[in-house]
Amino acid sequence: MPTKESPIEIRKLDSKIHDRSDFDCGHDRLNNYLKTSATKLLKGDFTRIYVAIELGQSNVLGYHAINFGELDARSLEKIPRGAPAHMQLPVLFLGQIAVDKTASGNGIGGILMHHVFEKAVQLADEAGCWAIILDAVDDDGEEPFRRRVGWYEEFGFQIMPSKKCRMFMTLKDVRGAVEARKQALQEAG
Amino acid sequence: MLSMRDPHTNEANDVTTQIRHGNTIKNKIETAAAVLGVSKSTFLRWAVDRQCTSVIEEQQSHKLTEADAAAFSAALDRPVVVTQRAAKSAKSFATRVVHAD
Repeated sequence: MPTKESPIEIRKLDSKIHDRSDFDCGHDRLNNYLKTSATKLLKGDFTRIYVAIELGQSNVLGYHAINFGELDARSLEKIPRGAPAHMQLPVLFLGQIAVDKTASGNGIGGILMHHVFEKAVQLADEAGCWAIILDAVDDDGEEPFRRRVGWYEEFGFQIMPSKKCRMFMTLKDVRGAVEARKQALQEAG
Repeated sequence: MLSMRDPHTNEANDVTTQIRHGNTIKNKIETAAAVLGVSKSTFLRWAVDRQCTSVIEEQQSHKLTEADAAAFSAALDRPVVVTQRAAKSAKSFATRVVHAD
């Protein structure tokens, strides 16, 4: 089992390599997604799924799923600099982040979230991306839902007023987090 | 009568999908199909198509309402915010991640 210092690899999910059989984050749909839906969605090019594994191991400690999307921003009063005239802004949708119960509390979720930030910046630089959008899982009661929203808020996400589970973070703030990683790397030598 | 259009009418409907459900759903299907004046098969095809489209669209797009636009605009206009948690995770990523695809 990983500790708070264990070296971690983040790989594109490969069902032939990565062992998902015992994955249990405590939420059936999120478990089922990794175990049964993931391969189908990957084959259909609908989404990309990245898994966190301990260095040299194959069992999945956590995962996230991302896909391209579009933000209809025609209701913005002020057109942001660089926005296309049609105001359909490219965004990254974060389907979900989940961490196995046996690995929770060791920073895996935060590392996966940061990987999403890195992906969003890469996409922004290569194809354009204005924000990350996600939906906090809300089907198992108010308290777990609030806890998840709070977790995302800690990273800088905020709620879309029109939908209580939908949250966003602008790429400007995402870039800030990626810059913090670069700075930490420099400091570590 | 409520609006509906059977999807894929130019496509052969020769694939079957079996589902199990209880009486509550059975009664709802029968009532809804009757309200729309179509067979259960036509109704289910229409309803499933609508729901599938909705799920896929929801995972790929978001239309900003006026309130959303105000929040999004405010987030774009304010100085960059890197929260403590984001900074901590950035540091963990820098020091612990030995490979990232």
